[in-house]
Amino acid sequence: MSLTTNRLTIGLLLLTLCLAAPVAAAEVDGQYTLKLAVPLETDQPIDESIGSVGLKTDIESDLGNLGIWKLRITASYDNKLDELKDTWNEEHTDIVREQITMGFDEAYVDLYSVADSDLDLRLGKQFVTVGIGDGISTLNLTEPVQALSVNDLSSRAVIGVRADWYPQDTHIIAFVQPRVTPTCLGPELEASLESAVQQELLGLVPAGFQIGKLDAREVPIDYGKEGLGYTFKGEKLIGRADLGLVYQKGYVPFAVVSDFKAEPMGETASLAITIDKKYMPLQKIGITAAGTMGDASVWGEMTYNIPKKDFFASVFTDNPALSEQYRFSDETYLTGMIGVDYFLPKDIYVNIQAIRGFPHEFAKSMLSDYVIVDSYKYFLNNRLKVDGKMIYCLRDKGWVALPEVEYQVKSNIRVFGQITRPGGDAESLFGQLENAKMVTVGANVSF
Amino acid sequence: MSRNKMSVAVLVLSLFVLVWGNMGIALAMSGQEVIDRVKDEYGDFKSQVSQLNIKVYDKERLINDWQVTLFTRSIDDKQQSLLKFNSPKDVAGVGLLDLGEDLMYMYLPEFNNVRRIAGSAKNGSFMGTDFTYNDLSLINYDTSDYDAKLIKEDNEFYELELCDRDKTDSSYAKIAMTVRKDDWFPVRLVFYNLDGKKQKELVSYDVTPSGKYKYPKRLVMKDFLANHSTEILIAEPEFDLDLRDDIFTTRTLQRSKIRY
Repeated sequence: MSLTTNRLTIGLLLLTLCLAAPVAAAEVDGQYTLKLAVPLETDQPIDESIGSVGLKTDIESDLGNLGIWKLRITASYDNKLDELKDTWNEEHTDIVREQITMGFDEAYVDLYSVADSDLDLRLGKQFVTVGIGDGISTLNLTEPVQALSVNDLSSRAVIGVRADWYPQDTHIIAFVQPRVTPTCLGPELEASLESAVQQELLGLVPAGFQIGKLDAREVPIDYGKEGLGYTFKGEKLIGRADLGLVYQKGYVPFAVVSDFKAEPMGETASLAITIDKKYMPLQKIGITAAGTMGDASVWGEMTYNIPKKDFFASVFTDNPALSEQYRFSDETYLTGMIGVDYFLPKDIYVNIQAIRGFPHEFAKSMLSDYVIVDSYKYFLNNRLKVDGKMIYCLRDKGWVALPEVEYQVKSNIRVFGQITRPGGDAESLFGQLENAKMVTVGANVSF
Repeated sequence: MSRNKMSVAVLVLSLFVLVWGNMGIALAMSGQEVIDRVKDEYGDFKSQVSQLNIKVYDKERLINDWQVTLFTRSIDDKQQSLLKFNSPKDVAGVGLLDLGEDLMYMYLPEFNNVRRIAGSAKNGSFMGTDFTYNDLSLINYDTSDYDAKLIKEDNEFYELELCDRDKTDSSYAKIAMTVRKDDWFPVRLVFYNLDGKKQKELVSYDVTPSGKYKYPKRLVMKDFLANHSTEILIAEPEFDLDLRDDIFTTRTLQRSKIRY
C-alpha cells in the first residue's frame, strides 16, 4: 500500500471516529500462521524451501449505535531456508526488518441505517464481492487477485465507498473506487508470467533483426480522462431464486500489454523495442442467479465484457506471428459460470463450477473454459478434514491438483498439509508451472 | 333389596362402567396431543433471543467452545431463525439464516459472501456438532415436521415415537421422545439411524421458569456411534420481543454486531 493511500485510509478512519459517539473497547483477535513450502522439482529441496511466518490481527469496535470500525493488520516474513541461514549470520536485524511485509488488509468504517434509513455505508479498504461464484467470479473488477504462489490464491481488498440500500425486499449496492488496487503476484509467479509474455512478443521481431534495447514501461492511469471505477448491483428474491443485475466500470487490475514498437537503431540490424503496459478500462454487464434445485444449491453468472475501444495497438490484432491467445483486440465478449454443490451420503461435500474466463483473461482471444471440482469429508469426529480440489482447462488441457488435509489439534490450533501438483502440456498455463510442484505443511493458531 | 332393584342397580353400574371406561379411554392422550402440549408449554412464544454456549467434545475432550446468539420468531405459521457465531476467532461472524420453506442462507466472513444452502446440507452435521441443521429445529420444540405416536406411559412419563413426515428426506428411522408428565417437559430424545440402531440421544436438564415460559438451561446431545457429544448451555432467553423484520434478512446476517 502506498504511503499516500495509507494516509488517506487512516485519515478517513480518524475523521469518522472523531465524529462518532464514544467508542467502546475494541475487540482484538487474530491468527498466527507458520508454513513451510518444499519444492519438488529441485535437487536441493531443503535449501530451496520457503519458510513463512504470518500474523493477522483484527481490531474491531462499535461506534455506539452508528456502526463499527475494523482494522485487519497483516505482517509476514517469507524467505528461502538457505537465505535464512545467511540472514542469521548478519550482524544486525535491519536486514530481517526490511524483509518483513506489513500492511492493512482491511481498514473501514461501517455506518448502519444512515439517518434512520435503509442505507448502510462502508468507507475504506474493504472486500467487495458482487459475483456469486465460490472463490471466483466473472464480475471481478473489484476483486484483484493475490497469488503469492499457485496454491495461495485469494482476493485483495480495494479502497472506496460502498452503499447498500434495502428498499422493501430489494438490495442495491453501489461502490465507487477512486483508485485501482492492482493484482499482487509472488515474485516467482510474476517472473514466470512476464517471461512467457516476453517470449511471445519476441515473435513480433522481424526476421533478421535482433534486440538492441528492450524497454518495458507501465503507463500510469489517467483518471481525469478515463474516470473512476464504480460498480452497481441490484438483487432480489424472485420466486425461489436470488436474481441480480450488475454493472461495473473500471480497470483490469493488472497492467496488460497494449503496444509493441520496434524501431531501428541506426544502420545496424538491431531494434529498440518498446513495450507499453497499461491498465485496460473495461465495462461489465452481468446477471447473477442463485437458488436450489432439489437438494442441490445452484448458481450462475453471465457477463458481457466491453473493453475500451482501440486500447490495443493494431500490431496484435489477427497477427499470425503471435499465438492465438496473444492476438488481443477490443472485441466485446461473453464470460460466465455455473456451479452446483451437494452433500452426498456420509457427509461428503461436492462442489463443481464451470467457468469461461479466468481473472487473468482480459481479451476475447485469451478466453478458456475451466472446470473446478472441490470435494471434502470430515473424519475422526470432524477433527480431520480431507479436501481435494482440481482445476482443469478444457482449452489447453492443463490442470492443477490441490489435495489437502487439515487436523484440528485443539480448538484454536489446526495443522495442515497440502500438495500442489500442476500438470499438462508444457505449453499450457498450468503446464508452464511444473516448477511450482510443492508440498506445503503448516499450522494456524488463532487467538 | 328386592331382585328388581338389584337388577336395576347392576344395569346402572354396568352402564356407569361402560361410560366411565370409555371416558377413561377418551382421556388418554394421543402422541400428537402430547407433542402439541409440549409445544404449547415450551415452544409457544412469538419470538426468542438466546445466548448459547456450545461445547463440542470428542471422547470427553473439549474441542470447540463457541458463543452464539440465536434469534427465533414465528410469523405467518413459519418459524424463522438467525444464528450468529460471536466467538472464538475462527468462527466469529459465521451466520445462518433460516426463513422457513427451505429458504436458508449462510454467511462465511472469509468469503465475504452470502450463500444459499440447499436441502442436502440440512441433514449434514451443523458446524461439526452432533446436531444436524434439521435437529436444531427440535431445540425450539418445533415438531411440526413429525408424526407422533404414543408408545407407552406410566405415572411419570409419556413415551412417544416421532417419524419424519417426509420419509425421503429423513436421516432417522425414528425418534423416541420421553415427556415428563408433571410439567410436559421433553427430558430425552433418542435418535435411531436408518439401520434402526440407537445413534444419538438428546437430554435436557434444569427446566427453569422465565416469565410465563420455561426453558432448559442445559442440553446434551451424545452420539453413541462416534463417541462424540455437544453440550449447549442456555442463558436466560428473552421471550416475545418485538423483533424487527430486518433482523431476519441477509443484511443482518452479514453484520458482526446485531442490535435488537
